[in-house]
Parts: sequence; structure tokens; C-alpha cells
Amino acid sequence: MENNIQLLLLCALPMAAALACYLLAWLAPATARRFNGPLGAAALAGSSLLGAMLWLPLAGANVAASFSRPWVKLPDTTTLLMSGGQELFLSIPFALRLDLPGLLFAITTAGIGLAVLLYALRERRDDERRGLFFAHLTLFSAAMLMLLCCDTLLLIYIAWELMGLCSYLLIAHRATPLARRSARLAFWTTRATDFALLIGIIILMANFNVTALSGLNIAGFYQRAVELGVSHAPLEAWFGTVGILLVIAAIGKSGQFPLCFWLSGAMVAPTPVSAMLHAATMVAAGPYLLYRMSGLFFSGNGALWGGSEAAMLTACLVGAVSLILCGVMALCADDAKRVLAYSTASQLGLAILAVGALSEGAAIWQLTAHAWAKAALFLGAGLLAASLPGHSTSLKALAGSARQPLLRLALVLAALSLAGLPLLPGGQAKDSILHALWTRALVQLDPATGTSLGASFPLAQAGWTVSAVLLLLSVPLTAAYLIRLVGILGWGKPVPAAAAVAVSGDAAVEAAEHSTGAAAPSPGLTQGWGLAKGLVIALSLFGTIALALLFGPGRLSTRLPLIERPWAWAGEGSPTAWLTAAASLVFILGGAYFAWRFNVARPDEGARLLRDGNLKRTVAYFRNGMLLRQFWEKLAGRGGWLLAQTWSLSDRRVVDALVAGALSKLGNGFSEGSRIFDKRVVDGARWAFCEFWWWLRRLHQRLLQTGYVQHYMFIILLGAVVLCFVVLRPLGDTFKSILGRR
Amino acid sequence: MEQFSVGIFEKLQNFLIWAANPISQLLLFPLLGCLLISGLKPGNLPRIRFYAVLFSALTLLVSILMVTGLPEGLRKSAPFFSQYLALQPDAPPQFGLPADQYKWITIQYGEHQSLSVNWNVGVDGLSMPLIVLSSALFLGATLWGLSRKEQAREFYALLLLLQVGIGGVFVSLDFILFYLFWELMLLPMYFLISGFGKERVAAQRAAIKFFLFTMGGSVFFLVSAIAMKVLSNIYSFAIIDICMAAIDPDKMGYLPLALRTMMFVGLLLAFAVKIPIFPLHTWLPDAHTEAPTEISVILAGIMLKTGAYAMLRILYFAFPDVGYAVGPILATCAVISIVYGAAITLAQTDFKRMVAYSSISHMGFVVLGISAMNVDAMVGATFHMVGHGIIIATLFFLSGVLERRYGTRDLRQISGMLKLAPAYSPFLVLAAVAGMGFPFLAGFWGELMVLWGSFYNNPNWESVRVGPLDGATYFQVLAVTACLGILTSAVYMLRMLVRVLGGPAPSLASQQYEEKLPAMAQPVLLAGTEPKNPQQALAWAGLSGSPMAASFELEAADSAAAAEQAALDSGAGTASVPLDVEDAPQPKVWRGMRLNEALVLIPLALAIIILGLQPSGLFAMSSSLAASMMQYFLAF
Repeated sequence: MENNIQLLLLCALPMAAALACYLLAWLAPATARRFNGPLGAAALAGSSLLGAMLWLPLAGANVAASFSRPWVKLPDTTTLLMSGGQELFLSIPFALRLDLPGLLFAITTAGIGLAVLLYALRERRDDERRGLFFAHLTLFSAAMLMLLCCDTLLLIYIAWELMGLCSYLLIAHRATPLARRSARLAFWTTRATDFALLIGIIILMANFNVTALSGLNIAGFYQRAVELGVSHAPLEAWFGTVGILLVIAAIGKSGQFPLCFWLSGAMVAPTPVSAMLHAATMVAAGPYLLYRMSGLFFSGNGALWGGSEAAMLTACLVGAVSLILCGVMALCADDAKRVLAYSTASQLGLAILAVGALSEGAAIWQLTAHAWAKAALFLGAGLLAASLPGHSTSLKALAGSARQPLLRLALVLAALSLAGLPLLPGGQAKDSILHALWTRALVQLDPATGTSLGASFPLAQAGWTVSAVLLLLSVPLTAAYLIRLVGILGWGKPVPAAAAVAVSGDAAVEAAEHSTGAAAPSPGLTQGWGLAKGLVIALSLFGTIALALLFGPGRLSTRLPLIERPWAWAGEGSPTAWLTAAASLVFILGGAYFAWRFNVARPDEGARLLRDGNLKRTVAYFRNGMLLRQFWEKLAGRGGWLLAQTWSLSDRRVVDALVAGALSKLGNGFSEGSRIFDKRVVDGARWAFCEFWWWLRRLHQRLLQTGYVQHYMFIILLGAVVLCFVVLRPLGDTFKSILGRR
Repeated sequence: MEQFSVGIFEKLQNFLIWAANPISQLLLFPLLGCLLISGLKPGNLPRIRFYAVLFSALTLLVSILMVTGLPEGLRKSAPFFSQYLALQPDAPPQFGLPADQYKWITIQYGEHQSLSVNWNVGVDGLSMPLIVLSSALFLGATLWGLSRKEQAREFYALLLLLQVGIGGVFVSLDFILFYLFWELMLLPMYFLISGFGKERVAAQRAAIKFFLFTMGGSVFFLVSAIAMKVLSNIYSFAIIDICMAAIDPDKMGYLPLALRTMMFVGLLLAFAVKIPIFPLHTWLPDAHTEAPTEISVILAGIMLKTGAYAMLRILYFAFPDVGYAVGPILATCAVISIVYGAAITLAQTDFKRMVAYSSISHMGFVVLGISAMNVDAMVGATFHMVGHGIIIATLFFLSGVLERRYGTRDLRQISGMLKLAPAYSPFLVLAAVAGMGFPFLAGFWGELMVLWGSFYNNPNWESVRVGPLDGATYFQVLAVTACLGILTSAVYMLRMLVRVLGGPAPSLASQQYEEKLPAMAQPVLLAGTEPKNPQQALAWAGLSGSPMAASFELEAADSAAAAEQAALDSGAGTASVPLDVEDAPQPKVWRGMRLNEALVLIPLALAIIILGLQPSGLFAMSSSLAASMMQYFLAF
């Protein structure tokens, strides 16, 4: 395959710019403050341009651009054993590969990154540390682009981790205690789930010798199993395991249900960071990776297919539960940025659900639609907050602040696209997923083979049914929180600023943090914000109408026949599709009506509803993110801390005491033993020896020295006899033998 | 007996041949430096420093030349260079002298039987990276403490002697020689910890603890080695001979597994104390905390690796079948080291103690890799030895910076390094992030390969039972558990970074560390002096922590204005105390760092990045050895 230099540049340009930014920030901070922003923006503009230039050739031929060159040679056991000791190294290439959906999202990332950097240039004008800030932002986009482009599994992991680090640096940018805490929480949460990705990659590399995604031909593995005449159940089990591990990684990275607390905590960061984190980078990585590896969930090749029910079910349930619960949290939140944060978790849940529903193309379309609309909404909210004293982002403070018609239009368009109005990109994606779910669950079809999918995957079928119902329920919910948001922003009754700060819980602390945050520009929209406003409007218009016209899967864009769209809707134009769209339209209108009525048209009625005790408590519970943060902090933070302290103490008191104690006991025992031995045995022997001589002497005195001569003579005689027998006889024998030998 | 008939000329010639050998030079240069420095007067600081730097630099040069080799023309031109061929990692140990030249001690008994202890040395792909790392870190340690004044002579002499010991361990291929160098490491290290620590009493206690633990292990080493020799009934102490005899059914292979396991455990005890593995680790935090900065670097960077090196070189070579039997237990201890060490690291408040515990956790990966007995894991272990050596050395060097700047290592009191000493902070960030096992940096590949090796194992593990599981599955479980350790490393490293870098820098008024600053900073702090040039002003300002001069914006490029401001800040215009340049030489400063420290830190940082970006070279060093060992293991 030919090496595509444009692709390399698309990936490497922002990375190089980020490195240059860091070097500048270290070597010449003053220059860095001035030039880092434009440098990063230029690199991202270059990337978007390269992406656009890649689009037409790629779309015309419907091929993937790729780039590959040798990188690392890993010594590997499997290779060694397979080759019978001939080959030792598994070479891991530096491989990039971008297919059409990937390219669509790469253009999205680079474009939104550019817009965010331009916005940040205005917003961070007075920030002392903006040199590093722009460097982080550029690196963040660069890492995401790398993740999108990379084919090599290890490089994907690297980009994945790099994003985690960037998110930490950016969330902590305000350097207040709250910001630091949120940043650490975000980093640790994502890092904890990153190991799922690492283990998944290791399983793929170690068990299947797959180093790059393009080598992950799962259908081929199934085919080979059939050719060898073995069951492919173990293969399905392995791939399903990896699939579930990937979903776990996505739960962390994309802030899905049980771990969604870090996303809302990340709202401490400045607006550009939130926009970038939520729209183009970081959170989109999870569903994108699932899209790239969707073969793990289900893979078919003609009549031959295999898939893991457990993985599909996990993806469906994780997605659907996040979709609903985070949607409820968004509805209950009272801070504009928090509404948007929870809505991100909810919308990305939809993308993960799409992968579980085996319509991964729709996942990419959902990601793209969400990214543009969310970027517009975040930057819009930030823009409005910048005009307030204290930069509060609470809904009460922001009520009615979007008075300019164009801005209002932009926000409403973006919100409607997110809410899934048919014909807008978000609506196309959602309807496509909904359609896929309920046709898969109920109609039981597999268009490729004619075999029935639902019948072969009963568990997954149950998952599809449940999540179709949940998705349908989430439609009015999504519409409600988005209409509530833009309704309050555009048409709400303004309240005095002093009262606006009086909000409860974390939001209050956060509001205080915001007001004391570094580098606050003077209140009111002063000059220079015109460009930022234009950006928001452009983002919204492009992300809704132009996107649908240019790239959309629906009927609108059939006038551009040259584009083959992998995210095209399978049932497009069929009666079931019209039914789906009509149903979701009705649900949207219903949700929107209630949101408008209780928040904008009759806010007092809404307030009265909330005054009711039970509902109030429920709303407060969801507003605080279902206390998930507190739960995890208690469980992991406090628990880990206790464990660390206990073990640290026991290491000195118990392990050290035991080992060193045993050692010293051994030494002491040895020396003490020697002392006792010396005293009892060695000394005792000396004593016994002396005693013996003493006794001999006494014997001598008592028995021998009698004083009689005849006694003495007798003893001498006795001695002579003994001498003769004991000494002389053997001596004689010896002489005899010597002589005899002669 | 012909040895006695050799004339003085032949002896000299033999010596010259011996001295031209690169391995001899590797040991000879530090030894020579040690002797020369010992002969100097204690006050002769310039000469002491010169010799210390010269001989460590020469040793580093020798070890680098052993890898690269000299071009042929140069090798031909002088006999002294003739033996500098390039290292071939896939060949058996190189650079040794021919067998007839390395006779050292020979005990003749009987007519044809002699027992000889030989000068049997050589290096291969396993030991060479560690030798280069060791020489580099010794040069770094020498450069780092160049401003040391008290007992400099003793310090450098001992440091060079230590280098002889450590180099000897990595090159010796004979049991007795190995044991000699193994013990030679111990003695200078003991004196360096006990004699040069900050707090005498605690340092002496820590040193004695270190000494006793290590000696306790070494005793078992000696017993096992003698048992191996006696039972194998061969007449050589060469590691290769004894190890081959250990598996030869005619010599030692007939011995029951229990006895061989006992010998294995005896050797393992000696090595496990050095590494250290879980229950034997408690000497390490104390020794690290009390030792001076440079010694902590050597201890963690190199000395811990000798244990793991010996495990690969001797233990698994001699007892592969015992390795299968004991492996799961050893690997369990390793994973306990990883997780337990990491959890304890979380609770530490002392910077050095924290880094010390983290190195227990990281060395666990090395042991896990060795005990998995396959190519990936073994190569991962050897890679991690080098990668971790570099990272941990950087962290310990930076602990020296913190100690000097803040007068304490207590993480609860240290803050604002980004403002106080901005030039050092990129290095701290880099080392800490690499210590988390972050991809693209040196700490990543070792951990990855060890995990990988634990996931796809030596096929022989499938027939080993560990409780309800088979060995292969058990290792997979261990690998997943070990991930907890990496995760925890992210937590403690990040917490450390946040505490050290962020927050306010200590202000001049409130700081308690003036008296602990080096004497040359005192006049600046107390009376204020006219700086001679901008660089000096920067140095003093950096030392005195003047908020203006030490802020992040400060840089050498436009330092003139800042220098004036710094001079104003430090009370220019008051009576200037003339500073005696001879007595208190100002350390040279480069971009806010002392020059010698920059010279140490920048190469280390580059090594961290380069090893992370392109690890293939280092992989290639040890992989062919690992492959042949793996195929050897497969036979059991």
C-alpha cells in the first residue's frame, strides 16, 4: 500500500507544533505567550486543510489512506515458537490508517480544535500562563488526531494515555484546589480504566500476533477456524473479552454511567478546555475506538460470521443506561456547563449503544454531529458567561443573556440537532440507531446472509429490545434538557447577579472558584469578542445544516453521488424508517413542550413543582450526579488511603520487625548460645579437668603416700610388671616383626 | 609450575596484555583513581575532583567503546586499542582473555586434578547495557557532588572502589570472582551510607541494617555455591561449568529436587535481598533515606540491578527445572512487591522514602519478568532494569535539588518549585511521568513486555499446577493484578508532582532553611552583595528564592534587566561584603540550574525520551540471549 504523506502530515503537524510550543514555553516564556496560540491554530488549520484535501480522493475511490514504516522490533515468544527458532522479532510498524469515517471525524477534530484555539486566544488574553495553556491545548488535539489516524495498537494506547495527561494538565489549569482535585479525579479515573485497553491490546498482540488494526481480520480468523474444522467459540470468547475490555476503557474515557462524575467535575476548567474535551477530543475517543474495533463484537464474511453476545450486551446496556441516567442528571443540573457535561455523557452513551446495535457507522455520525453542536453550545455558554460579572455559569445567572438573534438561532439550531430533530445530523444518527435496534430486535434480519441475527443471539436480542425502549424514552428527555437550556439562555427572565450565585452544593463552590479564578477579564463583553461570537455562529451553522447537506446519510445529500457513506442508514427510505422518524419527532415535541412550559413560559409553575418534597430531593440527588463522585471517592480514595496507611505502618511494625527481628534474634541467639556454650561446656570442661587433677592429687595423698617403705617397694614392683606387659612386650613384637621381615 | 620460571620481562608483557583488555580497563581505571585519590592530601580539592571526574569519565568511555568498538585503523595502530572490537550481542560473552592467560589461583591436587579460580571475565548483551548504565551513573554521581568539601577525598575514593565492585559483578564469569566483587560492593557502600549521611546516628543504623541484610543473604550464596561445587564434582568454579554440571544428570542432575530447590533458594536469598523482593525489602527505604543523594542514585540505579542480573546469569541458568517449581511462588512475591510497594509509596511523606518504595514496586516487575521464563518477559525485565535505573536516578538527583532548595524532603512542606526552581521542573515532570509507566518514555516498554510475557507464556507453564489453575492462567491473573501497581504509581507520582510543583514558593521571610544553605549563599541572604555578572546574580537569586528573579519568566536571554532587579531585590546599595572567590567558588549556572547538575540531568532526560521512542536497540541487546535461554528452558 502506498504511503500517504498527507496523512502523516495531518497527524504530525499538530504534534510538532505542540512540541515547539513546549520548547518555547521552557526556553522563552515571553515569546511563548505571544506565539503559542497562533502556532497551534496554524497547525490545526493545516491539519483541517489536509483533511479536506484527503477527502475527495478518498471518497471517490472509497479507500483508506495509509502510511507505514518500521518502528519497533519486539522480541516475541510466539514468533520464536511459530518459526521454530528462526525468527525472533515481531516488528511493530509505525502505521497510520484513516478510512472515510475516520477522516470525517479527523476533520471534525482539527476544525473544532482550530475554532477552540481561536476562541481561547480571546478568552485567555490576560492569562499569565497562556503559553503553557496553548501548548497543552495543541497537544490535546494532536493526541486525538494521532488516535484517529493510528493503525498500530501500541500507538493508539500511547495517544490514549497522552490525552489523559493533557486533560489533567488542562483541567488543573486554574490551579485552585478544586481544579486540582477535579483534574486528579479525571486523570485517575481514566487511567484506571486505561488498563482495560492495555490488557485488551496485549491479548490481541500476544494471542493473535496482531500489531495493527488493519491486521485484525476477525472474519479471517473465523474463516480459518472453519477451515481447520474447529469451533470458533473460543475465538468468540477471546474477541468478546477484548470487546468488553474496550467498553470498560470507553466507560472511563467517555465518562459513562458509573464513572460519569469526572466529566462534570472537569467543568472547573476554562471554557475552551471544556469545549475541546467534550466535543472533539478525549470523550469521543471511547466510541471511536469501539467503532474501529467493532469487528470484535460482530464480524461477518458471507455466510460465515461470529460475534460475542456478551460484548454486544455490555455495550448496549452501558450505552443505554448512561443515555437515560446522565440525561436525567442533565435535566436536573442548574449550571449551564454541567447540563452540557451530562448531556455529553448521555450522547456518547448513544454512540456506544450504536456499536452494541451493530450499526457502527451511525456511531461515527452521532459522534460528528455531537461534536459540532456541542462545541457551539459550549463556546456559546462560555461567551455568555464571559459577559457576566464573576463569570458564573449557573442557569439562573445566565437566564436571558442570549438576546442577540443570531446567537440565539445558533444555540437553538445546535440544541435541536443534539436533541435529534429529524433531518438534522443528530436526528439522522439517532433515528438510524433506533431503527437498527428495533429492526434487529424485532424483525430479525441479517441483510448480508438472510440468517436471522436475533435468533442466533437471544441475549443480545434482549439487550437490543431493552435499549430500544430506553432510547425511545431518552428522546423526550434529551429534548427537554436541551430546550430547557436554550430556552432559559435565550428567553429566560434575568435575575440579579447577587441572587444568581446562591446555588447549592458543588455548584456554589465552583461558582466561587470561577469568580476568583485567574485572569478574569473585566465584566461585560468588551471589544474583541466579535470574532468569538462569529465562531459560535459559524460552528453551529456548519455543524447542523452544512454537515447534513454535505456529508449526511439522509435523502438531502443524495445530490452528491460521489461520496460513498459507510454511515449511511441501512433502512433509509423504507416505511419503517419513516415510522421511526415520525415517532421520534412526536417524542421530541412532547419533551420540548414540557421543558418550555415549566422553565420559560411559566417558570413559577416549574418552581412550584420543585417545591414538593419528594421531587425536590430526587432532583437534588440527580443534580449532585447521583453522588457517584462521593461514592467512588469513599471507595477508592478513602479505601486506598486507609490501605496505604495501614500497610505502611505494618511494613515497619510487622514486616520489618519480623524479618529484621528474625535476623537479630538469630544473631542474638547465636551469640547467647555461644556464651552459654562457652560457660557451660568449654568452661565446664576446664573445671572438670581441674577437678580431676585435684581428685588425683587427693588420691595420691591418701592412698600412696603412706610412709611405709614396703608399700613403696610394692608399688615399684607393680609398676615394673605393668611396664613389662604393657610396653616391653609390644616393643619386642615390633622388633621381631622388623627382624623377621629382614 | 612453569609460572615460577617466567622471567620478569614475560610477566610485564603478560600484565600489559591483561591491561590492554577493555574489561581490565573497566576495573583498572576506577581502581587507579581510588588509589591516586587516597594518596592525595584531604584539602587538595581541585586535584581530588579532577581525578574523580577523569577516572569515571575514562570508565564511561571504555564501556561505550566496548559497545561501539573502535574503527579498524585505530585498532591496528596501537596494541593498547587492539582488543576494542564492537560488541556482538548474539555471541557468547566477549572480551575475555584466552583461557591460558586467565589462570589466577590454582590448587593442584593429585596429578591431573587442579582446582583453579580464574580471572574468567566477559560481557554480553545482558551485562553490557548495565555496565554502560553503571558507568554513566557513576560519572553522574561524581559530577553531581563536585561542590562537596568535607571528606571529599574519602568520598571519591570509596565511590571509585564501589565502581570497581559493581563493574566486577557484571563482568565476572567465575563463582569465586563473582563472590569477591559481590562482597566488594558491600563494603564501600556501607561506609558511604554510614559516613556521609545527613544524620549520623540514623545513617549508621541504616547502614548496619543494609550490611546485615546483605551479608545474611551472601552467606547463603556462599553455602549454596560451595554445595554446588562439591556436589557437582568438577574442578572449576566457572559459572558456565557449574551451571552445566547442575543440569547434567551425571554430575548434579541426579540430586533430588528438594536438595536442588534448597540450593536455588540459597542463591535466591542472596539476590532477593539486593533486588529486594517482598519480605526482604525493609532495609531499602532506610538506606535510601539516610544515604547522600549520589549514593541513593547508585544504590537504586545500579546496585538493585545486580541481584536481578545474577538471577538471570546464574540462578535460572543452573536450575531451570526448579524455576518451574518455585516460579509461581517467586512471581507471587514479585506481584506482592509491586502492589504492596506501590500502596506503601502512597502513604509516604518523605520524598526519598517515597521514591525508594516506588523502586521496590518497580523491581517487582523485573522479578515477575524473570520468573515467567520466556523471551518477552526476560527481555522486558532487562529493559526495565535499564529504564528504571535511569528514571530512578533522575528522581533521586532531583531529591537532592529539593533538599538543597527547601532544606527538607517532607512533601508536606515542599511547594512552589515551579516558581522557586523552574529550570528543574521539566525534569521532575519527565521523570515522574516516566515513573508512571507512561508510553513513549523509558519506563513503559519494560512493563509492557513483562505484562505481555506474563500473558503469553512459556508453553511449559500449562503443565504446571498452581492450586486450581494452571501456571499460564496463574501468570495471567498475576499480570492483571500487577496493573494495580502501575495504576497506583500514577496516583503517587501525580500527587508528588502536584505538591512539589504547585502552590506558593516559600517566601524569604518565612523560610526556615537559610542556615542549611551552603555557606556561599549566606552573604547574599544576610547582607546582600553586588553580583559580579548577570549569571551570578541569577545564581544567587535562585538560591535565595527571590520571588522576582526565580519566577518562571526569568531566562538567560534577557537576563540583564532581571539581574538588575535581582540585585535590587537582594539589597544592592548596602555595604557589599567582599566575597572571597578562592574560598567559596560560585557554582556555574546554566538557565537557573547549576552547570554540573544540568550536565547530569539533560543526558538522563534525553535517555528517558530516546529509550521510550525507539527501544529496539536495547531490545536487540538482550533478546538473542533471552531467546537461547528460552529454548533451553523449553527442554525442561
